[in-house]
Amino acid sequence: MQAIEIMRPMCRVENPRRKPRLLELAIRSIGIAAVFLAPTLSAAGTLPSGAGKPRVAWGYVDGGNLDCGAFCFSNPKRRGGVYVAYLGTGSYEVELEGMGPPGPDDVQVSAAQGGGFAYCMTAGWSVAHHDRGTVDIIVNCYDVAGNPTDDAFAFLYQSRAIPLDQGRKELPFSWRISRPRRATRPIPPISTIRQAAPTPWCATERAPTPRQFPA
Amino acid sequence: MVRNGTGSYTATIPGLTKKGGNVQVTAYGKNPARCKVSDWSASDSGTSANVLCFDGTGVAADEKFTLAYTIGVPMGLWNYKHDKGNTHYGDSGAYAWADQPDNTKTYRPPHAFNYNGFDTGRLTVAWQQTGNYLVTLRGVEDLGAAGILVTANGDGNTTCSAGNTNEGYNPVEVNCFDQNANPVDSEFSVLFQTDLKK
Repeated sequence: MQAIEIMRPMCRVENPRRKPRLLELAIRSIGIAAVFLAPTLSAAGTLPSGAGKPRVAWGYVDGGNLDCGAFCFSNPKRRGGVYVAYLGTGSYEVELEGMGPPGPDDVQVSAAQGGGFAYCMTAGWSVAHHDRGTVDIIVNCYDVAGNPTDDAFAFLYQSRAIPLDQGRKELPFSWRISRPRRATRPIPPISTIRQAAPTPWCATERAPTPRQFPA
Repeated sequence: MVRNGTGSYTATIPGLTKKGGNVQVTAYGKNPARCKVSDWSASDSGTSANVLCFDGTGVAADEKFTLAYTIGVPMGLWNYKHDKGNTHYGDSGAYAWADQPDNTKTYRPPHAFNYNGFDTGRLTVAWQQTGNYLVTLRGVEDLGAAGILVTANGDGNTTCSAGNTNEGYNPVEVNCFDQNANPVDSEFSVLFQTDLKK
């Protein structure tokens, strides 16, 4: 692991439509702990031993709007913020703080602009141990010719933390083909991130913080 | 996981024997690619989902992907029904499998594939024009902050996505396209996540 200080604009994004009350946020955090219990228990009968609390975050990124205030997010995890960085045309980094220790996890994204042909996919994600488990998700969007294009998208992150002494038993709710070890999970080259020029996307900038990425 | 051929896979989730639910897939990697769920079914041994993947030119290609399946509750949300001690709140969501792509009349997707966390009735799908649909949660005026995932279903290399959901409009528009970006009728699966209370 190599400590890399990444200089790029990060936007603290709040849902401009509605600010949840503290009590509501607390309630949400309780709900997160059980989000996977119902389908797993009813269908499979038992939960795998060592399964930790489910962690969930979801939201919407208005990737084509140059006004940071127009982002619309919702992250039901009250302990952490949601940040977005514009890495270049059609490429975004979604940062979710406070998602807890790493565990079996899954990311789903879907283009959401809807005006024409575009699709979005996950280019990689990683879970860091700092900030109570910060998840970085790289999302790339493309047009019909396969060229990067700015687009809005929805994302969903789900994980279930596994105590370290329980190993990493896979859970039935998600998997991926040829799943790489977490330490080698692909993310954009550090040089790419470091070279990402500040853009007018951010009305306010978040102070850069030292970040850990796989070497 | 079984590879059936180039860009074609069958993912089996053992033990999940109940028919219905919702499946979402997302292509994974640094090069343009997309994946869809052609269909899924349940048997005595589990649930199997057939996944098709394509490269940026629309040609079937071996790709990495992530897959998520849920039944009886939307992904990423905790439905109030299941929280025995707190029945007065709950982020709610919904999902549906739009299985009649060329039905020009408003219809309700099959019950087993149609979940509404607001308990306001089954979701409906209305064909507007070729490749353009409106998915409605009855009795819900505004979705609030919403995340909406859409995965195309059926054969071929169609792709589907939600309309602009920034304003939380209900109904939600879903558009489907062929590889040439032409609108095309297609099956799709849609999944809603909202921060609304019931």
